[in-house]
Amino acid sequence: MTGVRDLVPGERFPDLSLPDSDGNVRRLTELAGPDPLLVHTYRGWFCPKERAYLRRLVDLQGDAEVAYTRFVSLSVESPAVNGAFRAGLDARWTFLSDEDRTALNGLGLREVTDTVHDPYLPTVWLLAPDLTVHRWWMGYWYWGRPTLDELRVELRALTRGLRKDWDPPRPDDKP
Amino acid sequence: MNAWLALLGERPHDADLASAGGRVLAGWRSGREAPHPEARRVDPRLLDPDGAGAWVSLVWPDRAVMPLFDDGAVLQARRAAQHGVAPRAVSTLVVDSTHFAGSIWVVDHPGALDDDPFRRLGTPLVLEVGAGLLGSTPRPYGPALERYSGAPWPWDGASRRPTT
Repeated sequence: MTGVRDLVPGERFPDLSLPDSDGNVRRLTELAGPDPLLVHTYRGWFCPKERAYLRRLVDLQGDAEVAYTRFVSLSVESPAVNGAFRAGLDARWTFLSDEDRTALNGLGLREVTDTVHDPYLPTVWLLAPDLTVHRWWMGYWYWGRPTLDELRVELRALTRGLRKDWDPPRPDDKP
Repeated sequence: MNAWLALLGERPHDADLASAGGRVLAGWRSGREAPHPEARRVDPRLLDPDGAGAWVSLVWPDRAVMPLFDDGAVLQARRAAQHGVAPRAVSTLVVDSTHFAGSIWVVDHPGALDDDPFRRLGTPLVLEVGAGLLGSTPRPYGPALERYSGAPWPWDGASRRPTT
């Protein structure tokens, strides 16, 4: 495998360990806890497509906050820039910084056509708590990114598989 | 692992950790049952015998006036904890699966005490706590706010499971 672009559903996403916007090193499995995890890689604050898409994710966070679902956004921005961008967006999830691009190279997600910023390709991943890939999207072209409705459908399927009590207990069920 | 805090008039003999002062903030880092009638559960990551001294904004509501965790004011305070200035550590306090039993907001400098978003839920008690009681925890994860069956927020280790 040359990077995560070769991963298929059922395979495992790498358990990255990177600093958040406060400078604390966070591991993906720690951030996921027992919940579904949306991992989002983006070019940077400078890209209007990223600003547009992040506003969509901010619209989804009201649902995610009551649906036991975590988000992580990952870029090559510094923790300080991530912190300012996150605050300006009103985002309440974790932004990770891969400023030295060590994870970027391992993941194989370098956007080779942008030689100015040398950023991440825009991608969205839905992962199980153990980072098993449920589904992922390439957003190099903006319409390649999942709509919020597509994310809702896939998060329903992912959560249904994780929650044994998806069909709630009935009154006559034994405890 | 469970952890407990109690705000007491004197240091209890069995507390793992305690801070002397006008009032004693005592901590216990184990035990399924409350070690003291006044004890409330706290995120176990918050207690650290190697922790440096700290300033604390402690909201400790009387049991008769504890709001529900689902109260909009409690939800908004937790959103602010995810979004605003990060403290050195933070935890809600728990006595059952539904009520907000208070909060502890830990900072290194007293000037940062006003950042405590839980202050709107009750007049906070400001304490200067000595070394050996309180550690540091990263900013709470987001955007999820839900708790896990009576667990103190933001503690949500992998062994926890939501009820709904």
